[in-house]
Amino acid sequence: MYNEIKKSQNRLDGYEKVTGQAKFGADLNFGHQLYAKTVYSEYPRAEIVSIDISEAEKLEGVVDIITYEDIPGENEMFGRFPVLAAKEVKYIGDGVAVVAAKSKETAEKAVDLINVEYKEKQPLFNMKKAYNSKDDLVHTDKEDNIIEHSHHLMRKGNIKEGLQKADVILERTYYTPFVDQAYIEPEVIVTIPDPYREGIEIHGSIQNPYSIRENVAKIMDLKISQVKVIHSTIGGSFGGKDESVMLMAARTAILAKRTDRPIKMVLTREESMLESCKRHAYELNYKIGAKQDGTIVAIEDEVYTQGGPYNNKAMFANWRGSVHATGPYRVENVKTDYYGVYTNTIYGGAYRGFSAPQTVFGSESLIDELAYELDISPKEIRLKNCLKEGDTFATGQKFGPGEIPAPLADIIEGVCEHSDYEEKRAEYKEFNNKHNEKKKGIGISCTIRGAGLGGEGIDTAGATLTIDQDGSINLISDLTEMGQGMRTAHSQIAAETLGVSLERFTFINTDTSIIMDGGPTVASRGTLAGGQAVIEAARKLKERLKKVASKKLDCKKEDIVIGNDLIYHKQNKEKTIAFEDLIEVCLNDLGISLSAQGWYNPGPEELDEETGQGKAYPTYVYGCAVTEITVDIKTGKVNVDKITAGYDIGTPINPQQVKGQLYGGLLQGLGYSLMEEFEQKEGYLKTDNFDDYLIPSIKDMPDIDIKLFDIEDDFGPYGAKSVGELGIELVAPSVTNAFYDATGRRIREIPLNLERTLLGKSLSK
Amino acid sequence: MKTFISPKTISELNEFISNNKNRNIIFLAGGTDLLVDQEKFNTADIIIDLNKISELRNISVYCEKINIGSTCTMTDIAKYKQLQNIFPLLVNAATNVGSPQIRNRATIAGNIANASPAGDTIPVLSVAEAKIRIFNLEKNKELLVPINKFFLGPGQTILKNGDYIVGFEVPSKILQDCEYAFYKVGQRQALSISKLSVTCLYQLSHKKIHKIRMAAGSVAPTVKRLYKTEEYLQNSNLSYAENEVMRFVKSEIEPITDVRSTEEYRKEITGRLVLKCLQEMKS
Repeated sequence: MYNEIKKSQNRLDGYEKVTGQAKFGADLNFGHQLYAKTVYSEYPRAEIVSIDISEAEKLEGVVDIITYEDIPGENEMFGRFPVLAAKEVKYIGDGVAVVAAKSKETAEKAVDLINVEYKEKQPLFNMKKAYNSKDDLVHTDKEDNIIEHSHHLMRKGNIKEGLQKADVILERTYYTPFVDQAYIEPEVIVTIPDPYREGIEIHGSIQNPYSIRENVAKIMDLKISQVKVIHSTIGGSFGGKDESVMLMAARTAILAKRTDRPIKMVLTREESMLESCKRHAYELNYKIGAKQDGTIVAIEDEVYTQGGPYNNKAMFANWRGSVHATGPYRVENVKTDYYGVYTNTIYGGAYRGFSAPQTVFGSESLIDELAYELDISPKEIRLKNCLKEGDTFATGQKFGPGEIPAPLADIIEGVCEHSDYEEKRAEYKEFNNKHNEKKKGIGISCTIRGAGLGGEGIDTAGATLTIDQDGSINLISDLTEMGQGMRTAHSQIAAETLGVSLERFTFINTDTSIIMDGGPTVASRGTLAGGQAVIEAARKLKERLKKVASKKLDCKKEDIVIGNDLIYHKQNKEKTIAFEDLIEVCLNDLGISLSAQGWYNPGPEELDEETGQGKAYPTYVYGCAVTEITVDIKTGKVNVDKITAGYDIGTPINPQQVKGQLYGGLLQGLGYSLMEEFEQKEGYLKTDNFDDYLIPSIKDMPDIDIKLFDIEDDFGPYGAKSVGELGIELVAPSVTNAFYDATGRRIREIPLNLERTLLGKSLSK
Repeated sequence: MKTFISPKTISELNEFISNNKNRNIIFLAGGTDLLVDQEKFNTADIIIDLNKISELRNISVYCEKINIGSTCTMTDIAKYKQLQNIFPLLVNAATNVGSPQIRNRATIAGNIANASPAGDTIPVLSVAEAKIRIFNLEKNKELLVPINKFFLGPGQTILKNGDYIVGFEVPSKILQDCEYAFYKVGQRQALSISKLSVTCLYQLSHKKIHKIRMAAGSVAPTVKRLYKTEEYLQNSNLSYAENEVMRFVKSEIEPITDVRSTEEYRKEITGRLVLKCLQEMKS
């Protein structure tokens, strides 16, 4: 029995947010601050001949203008992003110069007065063309357009022999578009010269403060510790507020240093859409071989992921993709290859799922096609092939007791029963025979997802807990709160471990100068890794408290229990001391430190790079979704009526927040399935604001029924695993599978917008 | 320097306009279109706020006429009881605009004066053959203009500098005799600018189409009355040829491909939705 976890407690940051007190980056203002604005490229690919800032400099109110020549350190950051383009612009979002002015309006005017002369070049837009090109290169110091370290593979069994054993082989190609995270708050950075020492302080909508710190130090030629980064309240990020804010932080840092004044840069929505990363666009080529009875014998796949001109994490996302390319199925013969490709377009990067929404769309469409090809129920074919005890994953990892749990078959059965899957399939078939204008369909999809970073990097995390005189407890984590509720989950874990109530807890936003870098807040690892660090810190404090209490109560340390904010002897309830009183003894009478650090380090995962075989992730989470749709045959409109889903995410620390994460992910997944897509023409964005780039509204939210399967898995803190990204990936394949069920037409490219469902093509193609 | 004024009466307003003929005037009502159009704001010398003139925010129904003041909001219209009974088409269109926040601010005159081919209330007022009461600065008086003479192109109307919409006059007799059909196609359920829409007002008698008026939105530079299709169907006994109807509809509209949809999609679906309206009549 738990007191503080597995309980839907209110968010610790809820009060500030609902009363409007919480300050977002754009709410921050400092005396004498200047407003910065970037001059962006005018062409998707061009040589910069000259940059003339003389007219802009003359404008009243302009204080400073910088170009690539003004960068104190290196002009290359993570992913090969330049702070400002020097010789060549490689896409329309490249920055060329930055203005700092006394007002926003003046900065806008000055940007228009900067005259850049370009020599246009033929851009590389097409991913396959770029992949095959050896002489036309986005980065001329390379031999091809394949992104560094982005080729990841998986080799298991013998693909040739495996395919020879197959009774049926299907070859299919699937496509997914670039999509935007569409957070409500556009990117903001406010940089101030450090008032006390050589250095700078950066505030803003920052998902990963430590990588920003490292990159800014490099371009500023400062020591890492001379750059201090504090994230503001963040209005959504989903992986997006990373490279774009790194560029903003670098540009404003240079201006802050030169002018010795605070610099504020707030992106417009158009700039945000232009300059921030998108979910990578994919081309997934699959070949699947199966026996007549539906048993999969081999999967071969080649996946191309579009990166734009810079390497925005393709090396990490492709690795995750390559592990999961065969889906949650037992496949003895696997050959997988993922390639990231440079092009002169907007660039791909992290967006909730990190390869999963694309890969799961491909693999779950594929198995559905196989089911219909063999005339087997889509449910049955999944049940037959899904990973069970004794099976091995594509990575060679074994499932079963004492190893990795394999609960998917139970989840599939549970979700299908709950949604009346087979009954409704039959019912809709009958409905469709009688109706011509409206067709109904039901579709299913399943997933497996590696928890945490796995082989991407070591899943470390740190936390500091400090108990103050009044008995309140402050939590510091190196992981950021972006609205996902991680701080509340962390505090619940700390409260449970310490035996005190959640009301005692406060937290501060991550500040790089007060806690060590434990890695980025990504990969749904906030609770998984961060929670472990919190437990360790809490245990250390608990030990100290017990030691003092045993002396005070005159008994053995082992007999002391802390629970319900009391410290007492486990048998003799007379021997009790209140939490506050014990704290006072510790701090005032004995001078004991009540601040403790926790550090979690699971060690590196072991992987064979030649084959992809090995321990890719320590454990996995699972999901299954059944989606019901209605298609208007006259207009092509797809209406999602209901989603029934089941997940194993381990112990839900805060069930209400877990469901919130899943609902949000499902709705974003709905946008991905039905409407979201960047319209591009010749490298320029045609959809650059929310009037043209449509995301679902509250009215598009279908009826959603979620069941959590809390399967025992002791890997994470109190058995908790990952949830943040899991909601999004099941929607697109279950919608397209339902569309096939409804209409008999297979659509292999999302979104299923009206034009595609009716005419078979999207706007720009 | 820009001037901002908030007159309280129509006479105060007209006097001010007459005295500032040579300056660039823009009118502010709900502001839902204007506040995001910075260019328009920048070019204006005078911004006249119409929100304080209560005479402009009235709805009345008498003598077989519905009068709607220019600054009535979408919410005003949606909530006006009598309109729900006699002009449900307009109530429906008003309810379909944007979101509750937008409907609380957006005015009917703004929707018309903005002259978007996708304007939600335009096809409705077109098939109702509403008249627009405008203040004409040159003649210094109010004029009544039929709606089909009002629009010149996307964002363009007959209103000249200093002219403004006073209100709308809709003959209500025909509305009571007719039935209607309305289809709007958008990608999502709310806050969706339509890819296209079809509005149809009709009256059947003895299984014949006695009267029919149709308008299509977002498929031409302005909202389009489908006069030729109407003519073809008028007095027909519902045994029309479907491909003929399609041919007429497609010949009357000139959709373009933009970020919201394609020419191909718009042409095809407008035709299909007109047929759907006709099918509805049969049943």
